[in-house]
Amino acid sequence: MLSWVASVSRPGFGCRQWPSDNDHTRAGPSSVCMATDGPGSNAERFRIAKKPWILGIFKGSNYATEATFETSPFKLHKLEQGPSTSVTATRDQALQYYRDMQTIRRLETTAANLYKSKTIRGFCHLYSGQEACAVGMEAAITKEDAVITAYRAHGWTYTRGVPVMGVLAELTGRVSGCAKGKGGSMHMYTQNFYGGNGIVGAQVPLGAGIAFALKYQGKKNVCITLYGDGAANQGQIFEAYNMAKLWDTPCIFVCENNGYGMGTSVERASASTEYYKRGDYIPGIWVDAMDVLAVRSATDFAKQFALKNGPILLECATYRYHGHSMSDPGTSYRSREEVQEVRQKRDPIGLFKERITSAQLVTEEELKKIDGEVRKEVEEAAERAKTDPELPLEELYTHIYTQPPADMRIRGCDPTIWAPTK
Amino acid sequence: MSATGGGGLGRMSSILNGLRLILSRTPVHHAAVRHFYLQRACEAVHKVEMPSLSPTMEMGTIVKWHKKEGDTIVPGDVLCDIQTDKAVVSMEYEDEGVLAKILKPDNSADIKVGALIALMVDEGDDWKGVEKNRGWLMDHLKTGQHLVGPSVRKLLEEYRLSIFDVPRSGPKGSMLKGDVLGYLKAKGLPKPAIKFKLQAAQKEAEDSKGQPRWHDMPLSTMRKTIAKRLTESKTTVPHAYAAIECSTGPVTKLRKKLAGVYVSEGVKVSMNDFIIKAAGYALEKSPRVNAVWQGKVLKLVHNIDISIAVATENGLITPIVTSVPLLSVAEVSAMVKDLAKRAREGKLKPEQYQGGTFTISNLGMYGIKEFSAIINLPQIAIMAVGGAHASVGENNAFEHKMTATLSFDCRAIDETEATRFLEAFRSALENPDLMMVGSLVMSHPELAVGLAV
Repeated sequence: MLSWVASVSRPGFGCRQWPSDNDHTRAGPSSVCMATDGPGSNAERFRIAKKPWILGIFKGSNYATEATFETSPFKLHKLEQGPSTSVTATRDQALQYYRDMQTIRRLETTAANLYKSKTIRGFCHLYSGQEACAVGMEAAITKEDAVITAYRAHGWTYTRGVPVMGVLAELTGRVSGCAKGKGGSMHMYTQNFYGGNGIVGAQVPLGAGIAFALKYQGKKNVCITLYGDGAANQGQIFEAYNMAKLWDTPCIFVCENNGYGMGTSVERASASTEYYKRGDYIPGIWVDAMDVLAVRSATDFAKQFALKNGPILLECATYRYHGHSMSDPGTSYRSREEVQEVRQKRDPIGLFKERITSAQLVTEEELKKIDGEVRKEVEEAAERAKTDPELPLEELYTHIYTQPPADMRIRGCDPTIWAPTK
Repeated sequence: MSATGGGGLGRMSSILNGLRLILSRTPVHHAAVRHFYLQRACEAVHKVEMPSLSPTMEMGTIVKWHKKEGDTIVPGDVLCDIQTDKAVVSMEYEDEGVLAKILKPDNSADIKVGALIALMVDEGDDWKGVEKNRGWLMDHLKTGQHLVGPSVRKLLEEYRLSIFDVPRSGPKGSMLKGDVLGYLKAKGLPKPAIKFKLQAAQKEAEDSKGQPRWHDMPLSTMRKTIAKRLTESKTTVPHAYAAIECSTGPVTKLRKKLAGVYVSEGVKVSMNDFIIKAAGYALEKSPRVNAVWQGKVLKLVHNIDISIAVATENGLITPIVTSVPLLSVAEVSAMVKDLAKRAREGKLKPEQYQGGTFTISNLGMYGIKEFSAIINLPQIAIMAVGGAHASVGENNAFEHKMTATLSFDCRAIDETEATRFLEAFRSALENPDLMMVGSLVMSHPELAVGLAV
């Protein structure tokens, strides 16, 4: 059992399990007992059983509907004032964030297993450990805002609105995938989500361009342009900074710093690891991205700032549990103990779970129920992703041009092949 | 499991009926759903399959389990070390649960990707009971279409029964141990004496008299080196071959003539010594054959150092007769004798067998008529010499002839150069005087240019 789970006090009002045969704590009709399979001590069980009416009141009025939390402090670059460290979350929001993060985690775990059974082939970069980035940012923007990211795209594809099924089937190359199985891990798209991009750092100039388009069209929206700590050293990123600032486009540059590029740590790869300062003339914010509410608060601030003043940079300090990709075991440049320590002490889902349960915003039972539902949803999606048909061969020649002429034909590998396109 | 579940459900519904009257606000159906969910969760057994840990992995070997049955697993824990086709990789588990059953223990070799290797249950579930009443676990133990457990299989083998002999009473047509025991009792079959069977491999290795059919011989370091070098040569060098017949008469005549002189001086020169000397002359005449590869550059060497293949107990070794054109035939003879003796005694110094520019392999003295040899890299040619045999020469005269076959590296020289070499060799052997006169070609530096490839 993870340490943070064990430390959570179990509020009894959510436990709707009936006592089992050997449970002697059965009380009056209105009493609700502790689940007997948890770590609750006898003393705790007794305490709860003795106060049935308090529990009853809690149940009747349900739970706190809103709670206030203090996030870890932000670091600022060229900003007088930063995002608020005091954040509130409603019960519904808490449940939603938890469900989304848990779904991404389960999705990625399933993807890893499918990859290891050779159901998924090719490239595959997993987001486990970084869930709070996507979920926190998505919570602060609307579906009219744009997002573009690199090839660690599964989590973002989900938060942008593609169901689990659409992601998994894309990974397995089936017709029900969000890009009809033509894109795979690196190339998933949906409305206002410009993908999954395979070339390191190349999405950043594109993101600056999308932000420019939003400004040009007079929309009050921003473009979140994400890249990793490895891509942060690319020249084109600084070119994009320049253009974005020159024209004051509403672009939020986000460096998801998970501590390691492909095979090496940021300290070995970057002359400056203060990525939030590397925009020079672009203001920056460092945010603890293992805290979903801190990410939300920072993004909220960044969006308002960007619409008024032009580009801003967020450095999301996060961690990835898997290797860079499936061909990297992820333990040659860091120790397994380090990974396990982060999983146990800084896990974004674990931390959030502890916060919202100890604030009595939700109960552990509710979260367990969500876990079960998420598991079921992902398992069912995985099953379909394995059995759905692949795209027919003719589709190889479609979706190359938008609205091609009716009689247009596309040449195949062999010059004798000319196939119709749509 | 199912019996307990049914009882629980029954009991629960009776409680629910009682409660429904009193507790209007209690979400009854929610409780039922929840309970059902817990029941279902208890049933959940998760299969752990052999993962593909490298893009080309088809099978893997479990080297070592790091967890034992009953251990609680958290995401990221290493379950076991697996040897793939490339390396030993740790297998991480991405979920939490309890390791309930290890199906493939340490050192299980060649497990196919996707094969079941272990079972996990959720935390708090009965991990010890995982083996019982699990249809799919029985599938795992299937023998053909019939379900046969290990104890049943052992009994069948001991009594030499077929699975079709014994009536089956288990679920899905499986055979229970009781079925076999009942059958044995009914038939009154005596317990057979158990003979320990030899391991299959050992049995195969023995003939009907129990004598070993073979024994394994580990390769010596020298054999391994020979294997490596020859494989490299034969697979990477485009070999071409050219053979020429030379009359051995003149040399034989000369040897007879000189025999008296040499005997009085205590020296006896052989045919082989003349062949070496003639090859030295031919290399002088065609310097492009006297070359070695240095990386991708061909080095034309000025010194003519001829490697001589000498058979030893461990294999062939090629000591070097250095600067052949500068030596007399008697000196060549003395040097070869000394080198061959050292080679058989294993006392050659590295500089005595490394760095030749051309190789001669002569099997003439063993009655081999002709053969071809594999080029000794980084050299570019090797000459294989057969024995003298009776032949008809010019004017239908009877004479002795031998065949010399040159294997050469087509990247370095072509057929014309090989022909020039062989012609020079033949003329030297057929006119031994030439060996004494020597050649002037090496004094023309324009012929000794490096060829970059």
